[in-house]
Amino acid sequence: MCPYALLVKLNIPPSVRHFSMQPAVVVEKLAKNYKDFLALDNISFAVPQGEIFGLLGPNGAGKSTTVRILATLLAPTSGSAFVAGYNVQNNPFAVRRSIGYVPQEQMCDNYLTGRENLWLQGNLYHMDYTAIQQRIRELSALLELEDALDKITKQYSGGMKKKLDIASGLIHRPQVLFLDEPSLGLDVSTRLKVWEYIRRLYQEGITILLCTNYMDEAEKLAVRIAIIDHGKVAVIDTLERLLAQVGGDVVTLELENSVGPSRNGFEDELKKLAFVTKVLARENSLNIFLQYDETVLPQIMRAAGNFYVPIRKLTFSRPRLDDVFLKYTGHRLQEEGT
Amino acid sequence: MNHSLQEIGALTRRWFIHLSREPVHVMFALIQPLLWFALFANIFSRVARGSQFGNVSYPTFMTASALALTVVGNSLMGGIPLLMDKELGFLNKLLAAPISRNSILMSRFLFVNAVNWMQMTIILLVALLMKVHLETGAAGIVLLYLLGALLGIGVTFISLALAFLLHSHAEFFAIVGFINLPLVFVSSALIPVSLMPIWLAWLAKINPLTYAIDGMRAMIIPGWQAQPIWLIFFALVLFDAICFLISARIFRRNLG
Ligand SMILES: Nc1ncnc2c1ncn2[C@@H]1O[C@H](COP(=O)(O)OP(=O)(O)OP(=O)(O)O)[C@@H](O)[C@H]1O
Ligand SMILES: [Mg+2]
Repeated sequence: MCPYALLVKLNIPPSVRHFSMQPAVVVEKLAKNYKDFLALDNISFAVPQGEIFGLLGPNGAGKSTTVRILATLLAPTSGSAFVAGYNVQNNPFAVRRSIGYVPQEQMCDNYLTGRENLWLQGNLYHMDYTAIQQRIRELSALLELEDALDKITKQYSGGMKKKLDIASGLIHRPQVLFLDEPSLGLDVSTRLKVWEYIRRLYQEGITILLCTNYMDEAEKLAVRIAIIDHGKVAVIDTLERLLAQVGGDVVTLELENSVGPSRNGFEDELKKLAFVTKVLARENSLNIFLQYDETVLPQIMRAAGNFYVPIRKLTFSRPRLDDVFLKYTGHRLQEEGT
Repeated sequence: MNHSLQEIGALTRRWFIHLSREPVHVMFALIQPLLWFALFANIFSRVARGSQFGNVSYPTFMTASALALTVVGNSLMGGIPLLMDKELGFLNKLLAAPISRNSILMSRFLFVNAVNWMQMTIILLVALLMKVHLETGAAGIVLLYLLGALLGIGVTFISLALAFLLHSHAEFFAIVGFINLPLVFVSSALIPVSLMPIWLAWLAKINPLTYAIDGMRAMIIPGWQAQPIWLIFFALVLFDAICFLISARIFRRNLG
């Protein structure tokens, strides 16, 4: 058992686990030119073991290029990268042994059945017969592929193919998994399932580098996020801190015109509540900045009731990663997409 | 060592599964050599009748050609599946795995040679039906398969190298079509070198196909010795070595 899995088994919390280990992925001033086009411009980041690290960026940002370099498929123009402690250029073989790579494009062999695809992959990682069979059983149960296992993958739907790709990236229990756009082209329910599997893998202690251009995917899965745009890293931080930078949660109350002097009392009462950070009064509305939890809304309503303040409309909004994206790149993620 | 065997075994099995899932390919692989044989034996037997083939029947003469041309045609296509893997990106999946790059190539050689031998067997069986006598016996037949392998290896090298040099299979087919025809006509496939005009005979003598065919003919027709056997084996091994040296550089550049 690798030391990291031991820490997971002992229930050591992630924050402690991470500090005790060398990072699973280190990227230092990595640059990549395609002829005279600069696809990666000196990017640097590190992924601690056991973390889901999100690379978030629009089409053409350089996410796949980064992952291809880390998977030893592409040589960087300059800079260096380490995976599981091995230099991708000097020791590609050791890197390949440590990683699972699920590329952006669907990549099962269309002429083979699901089982044969997984069998082939297992053999390429030198697993023995029983280990492969065992792993095929586990993974097909996890990804709900059992019924399709003996069908030729040409007949699979896009979602099934993607799941098979993920399974074949996992067959040899890699230390580090590269997932390039794992939910591209999936319908909503399949996508939710894939997210659930990814979270389960995270709980097993595997390090995941997740490339995505879906805001919600990064929000739902990643512990830390690097926003990249035009081959540059715009910012790297934990999800919470990125969101905190663009302000907290906001409850907006629209009030009836008839509110009298009791309104001032109501505002003072709101300011006394522990979770409220700021109250911004407008003519007929109140913006309440606060730290949200489930008790917040009833408490506000109760205060309004005590002061006989009639409320016409209540809206609640949380800051989105999209706002962070806007702040650091000057444009929204969706606008950039082609 | 064990690891290499496991990789090569799994990759080779993949090609056989492909073959079995494409009935059209299987059919084509079986019919194509017969087509060569039937066409040549029939069309050219009219032409050849009464000329200087001695007491050798034209089907007997053509058996070696059908064998060699089948090997060349099939081996020339040997790179196509890798080109497809490259185009589809499946090759990247193989390259991201901790396997020796040679295993990928080796699996193609094994598969292509296996299909070549299978097709040679079909041709020999049909030749027997057409009353061609394989008079050199078991040893001759073993040498026949060996000659087929030596010819196939060199041509497969060329095909695999092309698969890495070219960008699409359309390009590939164009170039292979261009190579294939002159190779056949400038060889001893249709008439013996001794009956050719001088300039053609010279060209035929630098064509590896000529050596393979002459060698095979010597195994089928007792006493037929266009060239000494040692020269034939030497020429084919030399051909394989040259193809290896040229393509090894291409493989190294593209497989890293
Ligand atoms: N083989 C190549 N030759 C030339 N340019 C390339 C090549 N591959 C990628 N590029 C360019 O490099 C840039 C980064 O591409 P990359 O595939 O890394 O982006 P990405 O972030 O993965 O985008 P997407 O979200 O669309 O997958 C793009 O502008 C792309 O056009
Ligand atoms: Mg990409």
